[in-house]
Amino acid sequence: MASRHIQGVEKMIAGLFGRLGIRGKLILIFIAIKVVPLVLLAGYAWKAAESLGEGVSARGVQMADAMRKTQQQTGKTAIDDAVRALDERSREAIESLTTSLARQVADFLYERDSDVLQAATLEVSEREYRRFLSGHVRPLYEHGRYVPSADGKGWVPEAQAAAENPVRQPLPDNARNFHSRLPEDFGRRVPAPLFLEMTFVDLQGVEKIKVQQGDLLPPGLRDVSRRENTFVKAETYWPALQKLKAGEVYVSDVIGPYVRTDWIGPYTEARAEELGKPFAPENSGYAGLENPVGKRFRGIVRWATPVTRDGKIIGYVTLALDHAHLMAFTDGVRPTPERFAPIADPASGNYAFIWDYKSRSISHPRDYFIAGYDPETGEPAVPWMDEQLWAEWKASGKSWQAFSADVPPFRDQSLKRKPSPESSTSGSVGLDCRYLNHSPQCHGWDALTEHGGSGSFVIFFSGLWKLTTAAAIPYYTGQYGASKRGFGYVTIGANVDDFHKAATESGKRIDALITAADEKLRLEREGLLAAIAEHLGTTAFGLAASTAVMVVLVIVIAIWMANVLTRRITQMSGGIRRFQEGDLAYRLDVRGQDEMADLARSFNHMADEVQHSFARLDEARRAAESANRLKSEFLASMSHELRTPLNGILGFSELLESELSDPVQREYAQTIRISGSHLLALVTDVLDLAKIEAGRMTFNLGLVDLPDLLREVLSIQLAHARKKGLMLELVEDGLPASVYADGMRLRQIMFNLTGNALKFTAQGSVSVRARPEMVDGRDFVRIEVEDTGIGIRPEEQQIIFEKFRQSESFSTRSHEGSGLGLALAKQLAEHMGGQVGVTSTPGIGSVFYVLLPAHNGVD
Amino acid sequence: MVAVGEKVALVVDDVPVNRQLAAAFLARLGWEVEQADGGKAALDWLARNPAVRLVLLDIGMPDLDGESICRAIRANRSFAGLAVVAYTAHALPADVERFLAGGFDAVLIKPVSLPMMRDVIGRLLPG
Repeated sequence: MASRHIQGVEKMIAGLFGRLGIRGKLILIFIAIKVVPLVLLAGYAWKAAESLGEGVSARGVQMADAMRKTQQQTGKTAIDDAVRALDERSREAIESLTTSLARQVADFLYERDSDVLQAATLEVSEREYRRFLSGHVRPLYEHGRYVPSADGKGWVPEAQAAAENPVRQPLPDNARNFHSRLPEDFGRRVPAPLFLEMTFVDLQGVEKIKVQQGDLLPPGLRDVSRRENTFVKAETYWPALQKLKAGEVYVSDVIGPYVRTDWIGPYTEARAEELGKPFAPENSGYAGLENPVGKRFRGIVRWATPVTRDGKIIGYVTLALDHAHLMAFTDGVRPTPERFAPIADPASGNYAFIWDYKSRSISHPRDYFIAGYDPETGEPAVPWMDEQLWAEWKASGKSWQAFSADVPPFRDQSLKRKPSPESSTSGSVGLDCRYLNHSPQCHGWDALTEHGGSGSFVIFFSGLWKLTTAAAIPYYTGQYGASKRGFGYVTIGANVDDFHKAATESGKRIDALITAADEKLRLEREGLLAAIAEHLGTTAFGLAASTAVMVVLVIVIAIWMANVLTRRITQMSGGIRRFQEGDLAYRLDVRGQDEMADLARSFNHMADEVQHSFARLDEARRAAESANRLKSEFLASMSHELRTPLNGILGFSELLESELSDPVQREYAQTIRISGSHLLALVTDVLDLAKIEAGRMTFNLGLVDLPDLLREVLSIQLAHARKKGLMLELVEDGLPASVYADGMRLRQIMFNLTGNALKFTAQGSVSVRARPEMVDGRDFVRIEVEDTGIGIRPEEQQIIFEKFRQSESFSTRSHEGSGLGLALAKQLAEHMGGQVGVTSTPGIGSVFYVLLPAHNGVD
Repeated sequence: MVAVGEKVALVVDDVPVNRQLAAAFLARLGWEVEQADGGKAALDWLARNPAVRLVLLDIGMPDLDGESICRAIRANRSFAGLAVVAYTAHALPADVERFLAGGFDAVLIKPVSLPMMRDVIGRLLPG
C-alpha cells in the first residue's frame, strides 16, 4: 500500500518533471545539485551552533547546580557539625546538671539523717523538740502572683518586672564576647521550717510527744501502729521502727494526698471554654506557668530512729520533712540559658523532675503528675494509663492496688501507645513510671539508673525532640539502701532544638546566603543562557540570510546557465516553428562543429528537400489545374461550337417537317431532325460525364417524392410509348413515398432507363415499380424498369454500362441514343450512394434497376 | 418605326442561319421580326425603334457581345419593359446563371425548338 503510494508520488514527480522544458529541467537540476547541499550545509551549521549553545547552556547549568550543591553541602555539614557539637555540649551540661542535682538531693537527705540522729539524743520533751524544730529552717523561693492574661490563653505575673540591663558598656578591650547576666531571679525567699512534725513514739506505737508546724498533718497524739491514724492513712512506719536497732535510721516514701486536675495541659479560661468546663484553677493541681494558682502537692518524708536510755530503746523519734524542700531542688531549674526561673514552664518541655526509688513521680512542675495517695483509702492514687492498661484494669473489676500488684512494670512501653482518654479525663493522672506504658522514657530512665548511674537519650515526645537525662540520687539510708538507685533519680527534659538554636540560626543565615548566592547565580545563568540564545539568534539570522543570498545567487546563475545552454535549442525550435508555419525559405544558422551544428545542418538539408518537393508539387498541381481548366474550356467550347450548327439543323428540319406536304420529303426532314437530336444528346451526355469525372457536378441530395417523380417521367415518355404502340405503366402498389437523392439527376436516370426500355421494345409493355430493400443493413429503395424487349446476353450485361459501348444487338440497328446513357446513369447513381444494374433474358426482356438510399444514413 | 403595342421582335446574331431560324420561329409565333447581324447594328436599330417588345441576343458576337448589349439596354430607361432573351449555345449552368444575373429575362439555349421558344416567350410576354 505504502510502496504503491510512493510509486504514485514518483510517477507524479516524473510527470511534472516531464512537463517542464529543457530550460526548466536544467534550472531544476542546478537547483537540486547546488541549493539542496547549500541548505543542508546551512542546516548542519545551524544544528552545530545550536548543539554548541545547548551544550554550553547545559554545562553552565550543571556547573551552577554543582556549585550550589557544594555550597549547600558545605553549609549543611558545618551546621550539622555545629548542631552536633552544641548538642554534645548541651548534653554534657545537662547531664552534669542532672548528676549535680541528684547529689545535692542526696546530700540534703543525708543531712536529714544527721538531724534525726541528733534528735534522738535530745531530751524527750515537747520543749526540747520545739526548740529543735525552730532551729531547722531552710528558705523556699516563691514566685509572685499570676493572673489570667487578657486573652485568656495564659497567665501573666501580676507585677511585671522592668527588664533593663544596668550593666555598664564594656571597655573596648573587654568588648569581645562581653556577656553579662542580671542577678538570678529565684523568686521571693521565704524561710520555711524543714520539718512539719516531730514526734516521740513509745514502744507500743503510740505518740507521746508531738510538735507540729503548719496544718498539713493531723493533730493530736495518735496510735501510729494503726495505719488509719497516720498521714493520709498511708504511713506504715511502725512495723519498720520495731526492727530498728539503736543508731539505725528509717526513711519513709514520699507521702501526700494526690492533687487532682480538671484536665491535663494549660489551665486557662480559653481552654476551659473549649472543654466546656468551669474555670476553677484553684481547685486543680498546680502546674507552674500552666496553672500558677493551682493546688500544690503537699507531702512529707518521715525520718525515724530509736531513742535509747542506758543502752535500751525507750521509743522512737520521728521527723516529717516538708516535701516542698525536695521539690524546690527541681522546680526552679531550667535546662536553658535562663538556668533558673522562679516558676516552671511545663509547656516548654524544659524542666527537671524527680522520681522515687520505685519510679514514682515525687516532684514535677505539674503537681497533678506527682503520684500521691488517696486520703480516703490510704492506697496509691490511680495513675495515668494507656488505653490497654486502662481497659485491662477496668475489666479486672479490682482496686488499682490489687490490680497493679500483678502487672509487670515497664510492660511494652512505646510511643505507639496512646494515653487512655478516660484515664486522661478522670482527673487522676499521677505518673507511676512502672505503669506509664505510653511513655517509653520510663524504661530508659529505669535502665540508666538501676545501677546507680546516669545518662541521657533523645526522644521525640509531645511533638518535640527532647533530650532527657536521668541521674540516680545516691542516698542509701534505710530502705533506700536496697538498690543502687538509692532514693530515686532526677531527670531533666530539654528541648533539643533550643540547644542548637544558634547553629540552626546560623544555618538559616547560611541558607539565606546560599539562596541569595543562588539567586545571583541563577540571574547570571539566565544572563548566560540569554547571551547564548542571542548569539544563536544572530547565528541563525546570519546563516539564513547568507543561505538565502547564496540560494538566490545560485538560482540566478542556474537560470543564466540554462539560458546559455538552451538559447540555441530555443533558436532552433523557433526556426523550425517558422518553417512549419510556412516560411519554407527559412534556414538555421550553422555555427561551430558541435552536435547542435550537425542538427542545424541536418534540418537545413531536410528543409531544402521539403522546399524542393513543395515546389515540384505546386508545379504539378498548377499543371493539373491548367489541364483541367483547358479540358473544361474545351468541353464548353465544344458544346458551344456543336450547338451552334445543331441549332440550324434541328430548327430548320423541324420547320421543314411541319411545312412539307410530301410524306417522303417530310420523312427526310424528320431523319435530319432525329439525327441532329442524337448528336445533341451525345453532346449533352459527354458534357455530363466530363463534369462528373472532373468532380464538377454538384449533387443536391435530399428526400425526393418518388411517386411524383416517376409519374412525371412516365407522363413525358407516354407519348413516345403510344407512338410505338407500347404499354407504359407505373405499378403504384408498394411504392415507397420517398428516396434520398438529387431529384434532377434521378429524373435524368429514369429518363435514360425508361427511354432505353421503350427504345429496345418492339411490342409489349414497359412497367416501372419500386420497393424498399435492405442492403448491408441499410435501407435502400429499388426502382425497376421492366420491358418485354429483345433482352441482353449475359456477356453483354456489364459492357452496356461502359462509355460508348452498346450491345451488338444495339448496334445492329440504328438505335437512337448516344451510347452514353447507361454509363451516365451508372455514374450518377454511384455518386448518389447507389448503383444501377440489369437482369435480362434475351428474347424475353430486361429489368433495369436503380438502388438508392431510402434516407440519409446519418439521420 | 415600330408602333407601340405591335408584336415586333429584334433577333441579333452574327450567324445568319441562326438569325434566320429564330426569325422563322418568331414569325410562326406571330411576331414581326427585325434582324441585326451585330451589336452595333442592334443598338442603332433599337435607338430608332424604342417600342420594340422583344430582343433575342446571341452572346458571342465579333463587334459587341450580347451581355454588353443587354447592359446597354438595361441602362437606357427608354427600353423599360423590353424583354431581353439570351439566344446562345452556352449551355453550362454557370453561364445561364450569369446571364440571368446580368439582366437577361430568360435564356434560350441552342438548339432551340419551336415549342421551347413558344414556352419562353409565352411566359415572358403573355398575350
